[in-house]
Amino acid sequence: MKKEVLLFILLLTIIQGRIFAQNPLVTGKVVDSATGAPVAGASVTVAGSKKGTVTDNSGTFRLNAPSSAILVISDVRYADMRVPASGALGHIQLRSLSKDMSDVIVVGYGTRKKEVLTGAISQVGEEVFKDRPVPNVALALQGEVPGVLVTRTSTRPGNEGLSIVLRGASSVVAVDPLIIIDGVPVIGTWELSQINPNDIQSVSVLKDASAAIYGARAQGGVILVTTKRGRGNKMQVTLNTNASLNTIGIKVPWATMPQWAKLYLQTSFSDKKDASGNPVQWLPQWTLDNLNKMAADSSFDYTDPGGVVHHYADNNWQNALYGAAWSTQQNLSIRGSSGKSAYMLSLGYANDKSLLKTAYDGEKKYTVRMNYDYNISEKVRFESGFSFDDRIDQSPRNGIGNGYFDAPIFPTYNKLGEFYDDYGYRNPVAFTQSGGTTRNSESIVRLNSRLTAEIIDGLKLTGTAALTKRDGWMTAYNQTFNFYNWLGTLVTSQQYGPPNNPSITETIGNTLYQVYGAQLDYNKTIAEDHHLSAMVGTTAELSQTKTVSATRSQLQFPGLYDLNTAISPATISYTSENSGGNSHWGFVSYLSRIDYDYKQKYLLTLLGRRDGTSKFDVGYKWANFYGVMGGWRITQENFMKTEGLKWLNELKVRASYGETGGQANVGNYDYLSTITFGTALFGATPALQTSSYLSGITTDQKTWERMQNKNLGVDFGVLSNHLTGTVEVFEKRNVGMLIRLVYPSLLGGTAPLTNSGDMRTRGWEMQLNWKGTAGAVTYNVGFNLANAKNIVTSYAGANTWAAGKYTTPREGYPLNSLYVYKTDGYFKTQAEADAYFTKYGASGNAAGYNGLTNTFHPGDLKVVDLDGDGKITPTGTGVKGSGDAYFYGDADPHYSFGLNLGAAYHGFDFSAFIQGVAQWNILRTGNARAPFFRNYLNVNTTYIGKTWTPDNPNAPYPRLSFDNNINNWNWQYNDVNIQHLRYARLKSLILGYTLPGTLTRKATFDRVRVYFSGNDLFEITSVRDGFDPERGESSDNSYPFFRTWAFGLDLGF
Amino acid sequence: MQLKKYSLLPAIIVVLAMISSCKKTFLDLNPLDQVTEAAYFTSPDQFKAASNDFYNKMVGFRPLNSSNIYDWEDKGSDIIGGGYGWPVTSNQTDIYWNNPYSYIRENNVLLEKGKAYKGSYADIRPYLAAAYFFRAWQHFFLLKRFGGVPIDTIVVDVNSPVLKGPRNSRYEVTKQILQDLDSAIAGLPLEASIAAADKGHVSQQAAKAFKARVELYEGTYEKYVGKATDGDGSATGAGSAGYDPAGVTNYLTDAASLASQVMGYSDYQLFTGVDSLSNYYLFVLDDALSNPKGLTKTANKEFILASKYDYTLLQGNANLTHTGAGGPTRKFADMFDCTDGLPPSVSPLFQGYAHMEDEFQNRDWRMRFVVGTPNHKYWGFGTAYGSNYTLANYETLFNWPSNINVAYPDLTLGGSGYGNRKFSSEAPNRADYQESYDYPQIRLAEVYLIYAEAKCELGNGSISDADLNLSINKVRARAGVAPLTNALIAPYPSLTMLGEIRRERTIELVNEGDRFYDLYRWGTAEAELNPPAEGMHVVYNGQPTQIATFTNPYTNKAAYNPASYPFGVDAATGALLLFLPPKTPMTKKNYLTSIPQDQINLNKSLLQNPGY
Repeated sequence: MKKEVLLFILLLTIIQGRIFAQNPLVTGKVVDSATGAPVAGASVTVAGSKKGTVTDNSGTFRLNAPSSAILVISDVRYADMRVPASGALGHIQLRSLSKDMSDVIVVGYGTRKKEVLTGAISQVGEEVFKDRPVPNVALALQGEVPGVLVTRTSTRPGNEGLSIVLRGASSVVAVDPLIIIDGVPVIGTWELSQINPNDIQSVSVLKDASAAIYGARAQGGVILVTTKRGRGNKMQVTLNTNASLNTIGIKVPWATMPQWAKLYLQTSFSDKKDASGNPVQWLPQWTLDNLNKMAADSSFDYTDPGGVVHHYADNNWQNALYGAAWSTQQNLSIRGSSGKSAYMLSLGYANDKSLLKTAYDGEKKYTVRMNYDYNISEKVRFESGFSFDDRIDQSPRNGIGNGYFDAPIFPTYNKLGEFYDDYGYRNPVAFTQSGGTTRNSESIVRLNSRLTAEIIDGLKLTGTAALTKRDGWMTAYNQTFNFYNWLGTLVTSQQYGPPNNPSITETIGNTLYQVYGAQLDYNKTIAEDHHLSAMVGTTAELSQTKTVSATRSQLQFPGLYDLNTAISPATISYTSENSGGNSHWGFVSYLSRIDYDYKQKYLLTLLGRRDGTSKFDVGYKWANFYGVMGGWRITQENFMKTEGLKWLNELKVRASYGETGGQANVGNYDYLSTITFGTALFGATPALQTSSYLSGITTDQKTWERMQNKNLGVDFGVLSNHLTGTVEVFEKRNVGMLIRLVYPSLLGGTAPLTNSGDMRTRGWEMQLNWKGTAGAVTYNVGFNLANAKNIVTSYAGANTWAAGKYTTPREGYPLNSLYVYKTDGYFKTQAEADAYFTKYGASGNAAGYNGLTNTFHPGDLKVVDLDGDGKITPTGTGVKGSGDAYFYGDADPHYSFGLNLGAAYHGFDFSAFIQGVAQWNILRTGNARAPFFRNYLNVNTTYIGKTWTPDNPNAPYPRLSFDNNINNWNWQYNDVNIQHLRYARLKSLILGYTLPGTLTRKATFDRVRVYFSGNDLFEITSVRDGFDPERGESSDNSYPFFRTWAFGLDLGF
Repeated sequence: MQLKKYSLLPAIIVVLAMISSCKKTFLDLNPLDQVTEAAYFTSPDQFKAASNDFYNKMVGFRPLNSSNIYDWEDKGSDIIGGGYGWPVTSNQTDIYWNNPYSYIRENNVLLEKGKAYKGSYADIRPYLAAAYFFRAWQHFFLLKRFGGVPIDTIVVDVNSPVLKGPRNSRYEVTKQILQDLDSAIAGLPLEASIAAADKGHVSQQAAKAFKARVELYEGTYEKYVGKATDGDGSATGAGSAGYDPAGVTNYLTDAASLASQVMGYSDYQLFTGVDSLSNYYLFVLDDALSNPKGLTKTANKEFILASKYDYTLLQGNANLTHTGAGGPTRKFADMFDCTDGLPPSVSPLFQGYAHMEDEFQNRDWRMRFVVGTPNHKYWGFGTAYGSNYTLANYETLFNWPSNINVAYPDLTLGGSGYGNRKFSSEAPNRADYQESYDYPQIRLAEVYLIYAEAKCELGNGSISDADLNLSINKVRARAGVAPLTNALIAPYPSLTMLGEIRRERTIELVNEGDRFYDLYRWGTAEAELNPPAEGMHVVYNGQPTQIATFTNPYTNKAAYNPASYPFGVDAATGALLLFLPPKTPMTKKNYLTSIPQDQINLNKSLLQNPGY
């Protein structure tokens, strides 16, 4: 197959005739039609011959050509011009392409002019990525495109926990948008975090039926990334360098030792009572004497009854672990063109470091891109792209994010400066510093080529071939280290010691992905007003992935981390030290698109695609997808062209319907049952024998999920297009959603995925842009706002659910629904609490609250028996409306917005970007969700003074307790535990100054610009417990979010 | 360079043809790294491999789909840990409902594949018999916990009616279990014909012993609890369909007969390899360093079926030694007979509680193995404290290394003061979770106890000395306790033969997960479980006991801290009260665990057990 395509491309290139002879002289000067500036380096050829020349620096050319000949003047920046070759031609004006480029929208297998666009397609340009110390395309897109929700749970480079969702949920599992770079689908969405943002010309997002041209994989929408290509007759060299300082952003307000100890002492009277009901002090971990000393903020030694000396002192783990870190980014790009060829070469390097002080934790990226275009002849154009990205994430193998909610009472180091541990081996400084390293390298080579031949006027044939090779290599090893007690005695248990440690694991994963395509484009204008363009094409894809993993233990030599420097004992964990994996999938597709417009007034687009995949069984492999899109430019109508409507420059109404597909939830061979092998122990002399079982319950009768997309949009421009905007409303419906129905466990296994669900997402988006000038200041303001809500409309199967954030779909409710208990304040008296237990304690959730410490007291939440069945249970009888956990809302972010501000004044430029979310229900999870959620943990000072006490009966939070059950009752799944999160964050702030050209040109620079660029510098948030608003719900990972302060320099020469 | 128009068509045809021809390359792709079901189950080896997995699906030390061995010791009962560990609330979900059904599915798959097997039936028969055995095993697991449950004998698919079906009654489930066990017994090899390399595979005798266990369980349950926990089957519970009043006698008769058959094979013998300490070392028998005589697991002929572990190949992966189910209670400590075969309540050999060592004098050897004797040295655990048998004679225990301290009870933490030693290793070379002794699923001692109990039940409380000598007295002999005879207990009206057999069972099988189920089937759970658990005596005969005023010489702290016992001391006996009486006492309903609510939600025909 590969060979055949290459052969075909070769064939096309050699079909050319070549005849020329001595002829009269023709001269002329080629200029830019807009500026009148001479165009140097443009190619001038005699049509149908090989003969030609190139314009000089003043734009003039001289050429011998027969008087009957046609001259073709071409330059990659301009539309081709054809003139008769007759003597002195004078000025020949070329129409610039680049000016049109901003209006040209990449739509998938082609481009369309913005005014005749019929789909909901948003495009952003290079300005989004420029000068930002964000070496990650996905992150830079956060908030920029309405309807594209980018969330992260960390700022750790390489471990941001990124998710990209287009227009709300598309299925019960997260569906990533299909990412396409220069026409080639990516291997994984993560590639968006890998490519160099500086190479990007534009990012176009297909949000509605327009995505149907990508058929079976376009369920989650499509993001088309187009990289920069060569342009400009002069070689432009740009060097951009910046250095940035990452500093800790929002700090969780953990208590200091005295704060913590005081609260501990206060809490110690909360739980236990003696037979007559008087409070009894309960100190589950530390002695009263010690706690009193801690509360007095003294550091002191304590000798326990066993003779072991402990030391207590205030310790802020956050400060011990994290501090400011420097990152850098360098980019060099060379762009230009001459004659028939255009080139873009870019080299990038970024070293992005996180805040961890104790070890290297960060990401290094090396990127190379070379885009080369060559006009083989007037009719045949060759485009190619080569890129290589290497991304290396390196971080401590152990202890990342751990420990910082531990009690703040143990020093990091003991008396002798060794790692101190008094807390069950939880010293995170030791783990991160000495516990080993994980190094993950992902390198990707992408090659793509495209050959376009204009066969007859208006008819172009394009052949494409692309190949992507991914090499992933992860090396993870841990190191043995010891903890010591205060006096320097080894604590018994060694960390990562033999026999199974220190171990090393090497994991290699390679993917080879090939795409071949052919496409025929036809453009025709009939009777001047009817514009028709049609395309048919076909593609074939094959992806092959192979993995190998090997592990050995007992690394012998510190500093030498390789399988060869480890000897593995024959122990249980190492019975299978290595494993493999090999899989593949393929795709064959046929596609077509027809665009028609009448006078650019009435617009129609038809899309169709037929996809086949290897992932389904025979008979279920193929499916058809299509889209119909129409538009009406009302301002083109004659009746609109009146004086009174002069302020209205553009008004377009669009509507679309299309069906796309999805298979996000489908494995490569899900329709086949496979056997899993294990071992079982037998024998007088013990030996392992093979055991086996069927891997799961399968079905062969499943096929694509099917997404029905409806969209209605309005584009407008008013006041001389100073104000432009777009409003869209949409509905997506997933019919035949692949879900795992819940059956009774009697089934004996997990039910297979079947096309059994139905889900609907509705939403809207708006975008407004204002461009204006005030004196010498030009400025722009852009605002976008979007929201989407989903509901599972059909879920063929019985429902089951639980309290909390419930991720299994439930008919009639959105995904990620929050089910919480209704509460009715606190128990005011012990009698009230006892009466409550008497009433509800026989069964359900309240049962068991009759122990020593897990007994209801005043200050505990009164959970309401909503369904009145006499017990507190989340689900009741399983029927909707029964049970006491009620639907509160979903846990997804809503009303996400972005605000862009930009201004320029002489050499100064300013831009700011604010991103935020206006509604987000957060039900905090993890160990730090409540004060003393587990008694040995630190507490968040937010709660101090705000918890229930007899003197503060109307406190916002329930009473303090050391009892896990009580804390579970009060702090897990109640309505009052939900936080209503809103935030707005200054994502980016750029201040730049460009030195006057008169000055810089003396030093041979075309351009010198210095700038300050900051990320996440400021925010307004309603988070009540001090966590970063973007972190999401978990309180367990301690990694702080950071702010970035960058200084950069742009040089052009 | 005008391309001729007619060359367009061939170009398109070339491209389309090319891609069509590639469909095979691109679309017909089969797994490259896994074997599919269609190609499997074609050789006896493959049947063996599939049946091998059943052995991994018995609850043992090693966690199995979130199972925890602590759930299957006797924690929270009247004898261990104390504290009302019976099922109280209705569970939202229950892994011990879900897991057995997934294991049964594997059994059913094998039985179904067996029907389609083209080769010789004899080649795969033992593996199919194993499938029957384990299908019965899992159903019995469900029966004990939930009462009647849906019987699962087919490879269920999403359309199977059984998914929406009602529960079968306990009588129907029992019938199915016994029928499967008959199939198993017919197809399984005798222990003697299992090859050395295959030891550990289930034998015919194991199936018989297990069947005896099922029959004793169900026979006594029907005798003492009857239909009390069945529900009516139309509003609550599994109902009583298939109840047969003759079941009690039939089951008990067959149980005694099967037990007797198993007792007749010399393949199994009580472990007596470490003299008077055998009953301790049997349960921590690991490698040669795990016991003073350097024995390995091959010395153990007592386990008829076990979950096997091995330090090198498959570790126990449970924290057995540092953390366990809990300490024995006062009540349990008082259950051990004195060496004369009589309990402390009547035995003249009993020494009282004044000094902390007193109650350990002249007692059943097992008391020392289950509970550490105070004021004695014990091997600890791990390299620093673990055993070094070369230093000390293992029976008289002299010449202890200086780093080994004398053990004293600790009454400052709210516990009973007694520590548990069963399943607790003293090997120096074992860390937490690396203990790798075998877990007994069926052992000979239990078969003896089944025999004696069944005979005694059949005899309406009486049993011949001959039957006692055949069975239970062998277990007592190993523990250094005089034989149980009719003459021995005759002078004491407080002692009954059935009571003594049950006492023996409780002591011998402690922490093997039988206590709760025994109390349920005897119908005595309310009486035994509701009284609050107690700890050591701090007062005896009106005087403070030694431990009440004792100062631990190593810590210089009082061994007893009254503040840790908010419920004080039992005025009648002087023992520490560990709990208040339960706020919601147990009743018959608690004999069965609730059917998990999530399953009821999914299948309305599953009726909840009465009272939940």
